[in-house]
Amino acid sequence: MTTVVTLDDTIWEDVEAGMEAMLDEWHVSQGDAVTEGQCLATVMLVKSSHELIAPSSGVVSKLYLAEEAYFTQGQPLLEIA
Amino acid sequence: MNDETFTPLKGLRRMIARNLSQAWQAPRVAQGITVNMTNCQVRVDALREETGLKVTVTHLLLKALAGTLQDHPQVNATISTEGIQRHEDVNIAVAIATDSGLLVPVISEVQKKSVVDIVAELKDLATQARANKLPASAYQKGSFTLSSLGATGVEWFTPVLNSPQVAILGAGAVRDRAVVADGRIEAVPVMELTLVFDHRALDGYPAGLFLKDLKHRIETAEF
Repeated sequence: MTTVVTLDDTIWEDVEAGMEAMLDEWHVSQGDAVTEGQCLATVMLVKSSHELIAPSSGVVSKLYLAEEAYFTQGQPLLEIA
Repeated sequence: MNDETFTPLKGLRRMIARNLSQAWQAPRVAQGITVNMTNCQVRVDALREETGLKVTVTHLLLKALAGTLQDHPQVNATISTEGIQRHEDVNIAVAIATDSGLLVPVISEVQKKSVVDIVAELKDLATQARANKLPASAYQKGSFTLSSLGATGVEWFTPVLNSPQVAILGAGAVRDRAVVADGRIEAVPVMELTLVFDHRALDGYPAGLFLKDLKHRIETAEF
């Protein structure tokens, strides 16, 4: 089963509509084995820093964005197969 | 000693760089005014005595700004490609220096808050900002920004706008200056305030009137 990972909605709470977050740094690469709860990336939303957490264990099958790219709420960031 | 440290534009530094570059696109104007701080300093001392809190000129400046911004709604505004939005609430973003860089959390509805409320909220925001504990929403919905460099001794400066807001105030240090009053020279504590504004949204004359009223509010110090 493939899991598409997005930035948790609670982080976007009360943030103005249309605001973009920035993928600051990937901590994993395609093909890496990851475990549930692991920090996959650091992202910045407005001026706050957040961790992208693995919702399940598996292997990273796809990174949707490069570092420094901007994304909106709900946008897929990574796939775990 | 190695002084050739290289800091990559990552994380907060990268966000600061992006925001400031964006804000720099605005056609901005700066206006300065000198404010007599005599009464304000008396009020700071009185409030410290009354409340036991570490009240500063910055807290009174926020209070004065709230009232003045309500009287000058064109300064309490944000701009987008669609137009200029005036805001009923005075939500003041306050620039706070942290080890990782400049953070600008927002005190909401300052017009409804007492000086004591402002002291408590600013302290709390600064502590949380420095610990990276504030949520993203804490930095949003600001309608105006205050940046104070008083603690450094800097007398005046022109801050960069906090986009999409149309205006920002830079406050310098309070210092004694020789002033001529009634034909005599006397030492008076003064502070320089510099308003930087986006000329697309605001013209020079109403901006000048805003500064004039702000000066009056601070000098009468009726908080």
